[in-house]
Amino acid sequence: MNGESPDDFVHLHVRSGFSFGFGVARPEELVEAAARMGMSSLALTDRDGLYGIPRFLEAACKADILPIVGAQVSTAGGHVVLLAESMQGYRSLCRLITDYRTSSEDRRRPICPLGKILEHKEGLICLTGAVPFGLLPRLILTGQREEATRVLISLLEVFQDRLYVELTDDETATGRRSMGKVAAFARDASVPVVAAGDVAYLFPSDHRLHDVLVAAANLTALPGPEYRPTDRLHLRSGKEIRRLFEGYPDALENVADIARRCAGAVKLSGKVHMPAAILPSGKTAGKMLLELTLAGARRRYGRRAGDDPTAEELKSRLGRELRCIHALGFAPYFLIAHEAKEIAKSKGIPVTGRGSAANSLVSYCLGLSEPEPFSNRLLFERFLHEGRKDPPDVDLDFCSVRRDEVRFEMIHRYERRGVAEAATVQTMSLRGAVRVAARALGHPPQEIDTLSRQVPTRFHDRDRIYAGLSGWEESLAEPAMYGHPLQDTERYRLLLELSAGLAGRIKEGGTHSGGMVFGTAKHHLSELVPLEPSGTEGLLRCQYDKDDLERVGLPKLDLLGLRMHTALHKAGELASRRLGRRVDPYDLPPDDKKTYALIRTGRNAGMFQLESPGQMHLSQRLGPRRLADLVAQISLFRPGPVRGDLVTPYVKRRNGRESYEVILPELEEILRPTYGVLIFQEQALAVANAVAGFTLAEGDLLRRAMTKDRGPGAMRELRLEFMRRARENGVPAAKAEEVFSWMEGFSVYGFSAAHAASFAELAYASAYMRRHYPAEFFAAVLDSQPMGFYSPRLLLNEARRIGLSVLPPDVHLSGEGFTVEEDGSALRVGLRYCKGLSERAISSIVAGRRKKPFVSVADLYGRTGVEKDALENLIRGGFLDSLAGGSERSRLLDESAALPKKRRRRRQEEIPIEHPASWWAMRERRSVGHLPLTDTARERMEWEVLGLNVYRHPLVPYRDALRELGVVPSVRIRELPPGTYARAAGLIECLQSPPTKSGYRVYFLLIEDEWGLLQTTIFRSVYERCGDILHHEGAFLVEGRVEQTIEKGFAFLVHNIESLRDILFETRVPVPRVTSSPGAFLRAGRRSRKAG
Amino acid sequence: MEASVSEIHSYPLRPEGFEEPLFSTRESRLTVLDHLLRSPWLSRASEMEGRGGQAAHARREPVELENRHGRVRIVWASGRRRCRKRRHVVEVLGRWREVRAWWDEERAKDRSLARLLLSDDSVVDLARENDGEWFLVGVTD
Repeated sequence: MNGESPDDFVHLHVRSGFSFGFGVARPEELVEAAARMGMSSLALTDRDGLYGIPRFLEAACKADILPIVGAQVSTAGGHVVLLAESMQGYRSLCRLITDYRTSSEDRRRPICPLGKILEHKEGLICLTGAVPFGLLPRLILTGQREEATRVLISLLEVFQDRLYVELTDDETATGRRSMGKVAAFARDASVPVVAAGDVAYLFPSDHRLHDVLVAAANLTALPGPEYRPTDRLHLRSGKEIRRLFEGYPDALENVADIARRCAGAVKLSGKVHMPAAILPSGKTAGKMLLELTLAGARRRYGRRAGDDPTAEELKSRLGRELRCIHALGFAPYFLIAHEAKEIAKSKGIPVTGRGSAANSLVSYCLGLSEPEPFSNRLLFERFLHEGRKDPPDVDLDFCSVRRDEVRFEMIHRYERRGVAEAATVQTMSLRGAVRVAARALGHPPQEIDTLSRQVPTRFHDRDRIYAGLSGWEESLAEPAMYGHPLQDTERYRLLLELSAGLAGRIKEGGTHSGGMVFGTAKHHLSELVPLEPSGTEGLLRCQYDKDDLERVGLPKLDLLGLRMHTALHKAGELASRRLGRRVDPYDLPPDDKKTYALIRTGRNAGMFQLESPGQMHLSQRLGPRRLADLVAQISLFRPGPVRGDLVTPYVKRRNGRESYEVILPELEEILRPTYGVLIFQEQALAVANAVAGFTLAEGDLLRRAMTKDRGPGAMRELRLEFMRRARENGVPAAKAEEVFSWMEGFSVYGFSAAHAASFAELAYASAYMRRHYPAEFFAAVLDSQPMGFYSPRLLLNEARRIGLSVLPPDVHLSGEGFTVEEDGSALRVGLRYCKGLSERAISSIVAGRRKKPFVSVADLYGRTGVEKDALENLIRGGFLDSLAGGSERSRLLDESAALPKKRRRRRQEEIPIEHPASWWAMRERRSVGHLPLTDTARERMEWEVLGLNVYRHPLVPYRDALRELGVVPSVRIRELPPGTYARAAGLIECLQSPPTKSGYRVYFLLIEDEWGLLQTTIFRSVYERCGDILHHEGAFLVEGRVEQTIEKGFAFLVHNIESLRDILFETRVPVPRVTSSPGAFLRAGRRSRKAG
Repeated sequence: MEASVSEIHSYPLRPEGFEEPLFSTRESRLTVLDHLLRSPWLSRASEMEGRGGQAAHARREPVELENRHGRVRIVWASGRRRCRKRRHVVEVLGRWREVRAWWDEERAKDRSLARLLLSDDSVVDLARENDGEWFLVGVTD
């Protein structure tokens, strides 16, 4: 490096955004900039972690830069920088970080004792930290020279010629002087010095973002702690650094020396670290897998073997799969997945597989997946083959409530070799960025709420990116932000600039929802990746996210929680209890006609994967009659097929309204099940095989290449290869060209049939349970919230619409959750739905009423653990109506108000009597407080507390008024002839803007009236005119035109939107609370049903 | 070196009105100056907040820089009469950046500074602000 080019300098101390608050740029940006500046090598040394290393290595490889792996380790007195000069060094670093991060008191501010650094010295080079906050500079600059000498000697004894005193100049007023002092100290101690940049951002102008992030990380306003009045922590050029260090030639020479030792020393890709399974003594993983697979095959196929598939087919495929698994060394991974499944089975926890693993017959035999591979035409090569370099991925879904039982059992069994959860990386949305910037600028919390409200939450909104100032211009033009305070761009100029700069930046690390990583036979997991506390007791997480784990070859086993499992399991239990016979949602009669008939009606609320408005619509158009239809339906309603308009030809052909021809006879067999439409990724493999003679494994590589590396050069090579082999196969060039283009387009949207088939089974189970045990199904779904597409309020209304009675909550009759009464024809609201009621309070109510019924509010308060606020909520929610009669809720509230805020102690006999001085106040209140509540007032109270419409739909009281306005019920609008203009009214459930075929923005507003749901379509012009109402109101009168075509089905195109509150003036139509959520601009509130 | 009391007394007295020079040579002056610059207890005028009291040496006077035959000199108006002073730059003693309180319009500072030894042996701090203008912001000697 040095001496070769004046621009070349190796930055040895560089923090990226993965320093979470202490760095700004992404590792890829740093590498790109370094390459642009002519640097040959670059280090990444994030604060207390290696989070960014895998992507840093990948980016460095692409940019032809030699990467140096390191970390900035925080000690009590300041930081040091450790650089790995070998793989041994990388492992030491991983172990060290794991060691102090898991033993620090504050997991967000870990402190490494100096002794631990000395313990993990192997393969590491130590720099003593940047001026002025590094370990050594801080001691020197604060006059603690003796302590500095002591620390230096300890480090020198251990690191010897691998210790350097780091010199940095932040170009502040005192920077140069401070560096001089540190250099003089090093000279006196005869320790070599090294020049470094202490890089925290890319460009000088980014210093503001850095200062804001530091303040945000410390939850303070600007200036944050250890604030430095400088903008010189950017990636300075070699020339700039040389000018700064021209008085320290040895410091520059030592940079070259360190770079020679460390650059490119750590390589993490190219190898799969297979976890080590726990095996009985004397057994190998391969043997064990063979035994389990054969036993599973006997259980799965039993006597059936011999029909379809034949025993020969079965044997041949199993042999092929096992050989591949063995050759890749993946047997232990399958065994671990099997072990997790067995734990769940032994505990009675529902478990199913998902994802491409269902393509494997071995997975099916091990019970890791449910779809039968032969009948579903699932191809093992889509999951695994010898040419695949990345590790396999098995996903298991468990009942979400009991998933942790499996997870912690696995942790317990595998902790000797190390086990941890994968990490996630969270980036800042524009709204989040506004909050962070506003707090740093010192705005009070209330103002921060006002400023951030209605700001688009997602930085990436599907294909749209809100970035830079143009992003703000775009965002401020959104109807949601009409009249927003941030429209005053002059006043909030700084806030807008900062938030635009922060949006999309790395915010913090999180824990993956279920991806577990295990140590190998050779290395403990903490030698492969640093571990840290996840925030959940007993659960560690590794510092790499799922993509990084794939980059470094660490297979992840997904143990996911699926609330539909929880709901199905609970529904089964409730139905079994009521009927006195076992109802198993996982062992249902197949192809139940009533179930498919229900799905075809499109009234699918609550059904797994089939309940969104789009799927409801597709159910009506497609008319599924068997599981294969559901598999196709689940695969079709995805952004890709919708954009590629595959849905219409599929629906037409499926319903016999259009004939089709395949372009080559070889493709007939492959495409017949999907009526000539290429839907599944597995079909792409088979097409490549049939047309160009690719093996299935080669077909999978082709599919992956088309999906991931779509550079023009790569695509050209693929095309040439495909054409050449097709020609050899005797396929005409024109036809081969057409097939290739077809596959190329397909690769964007293809969906795995295995994954769809796994989901289709659950979709069928949920539809079956809803059809045959509706009360149990809705009770279970309502108790498993938050889940699915709809709010609990809408689900309860849907239950009422299908004929179930909704019984009011009652402190004596309500269960903890929803209960089924009146022989399966009624649902009663459970105690958990009461806002603010803790689990402890619920248990005490259940225990208390078992002893004797409650006779008054004071009695309930005295005998249970219900807090004062929750008591009021119980009254407002109607739980205590039976104590006072329905119309006297206000009297109960008065009684509750008179109760002391502090509860009586155990030995106190009674609740203390109120002070006599309050007698007048009581008397005054009594005179006005006991007027009976109106129905709407009572319902509003219930809605506020329960989030449900217990008594009736909230638009029922306005039925006549709406009829006079010419409003047509949602169910009748569908029956209107095409071209009819109509009015509809309803409460918002969801506002979305999914991608469309044309690319134009179209908005879908889902409203609910007394009769059901209505999806309306709003084009951009109408949205721009009326969109602000959607974001500020909750009940609407929409006017529009009915469209109905065979190809597209039903649509209601909105021309005008008005607020129902404005139309029905003098009334207070209650509206749902809406929030932004992923995938939707607005969604009706769905607070967790967890008590507390 | 030791001297007896008698030897000291035998040393001739300074003439009336003689001012003992603080620094006998230019080098000794620089040595002391360097010592002071490294002293943690000594603040630079330009680093001080406000203009009064202890920051008496902090200023903000516009300065012109002239390049005369390769020698840079600074020109500024000083004192009540605004007399123009001209001094050559002998040496650049240090350079630094000051980016302070950018979030507060009133207190914000974003400038590059240089400490200069001038031809009259004075040491001054010059700041170049974002608009390219130079200002004399401190006199440390």
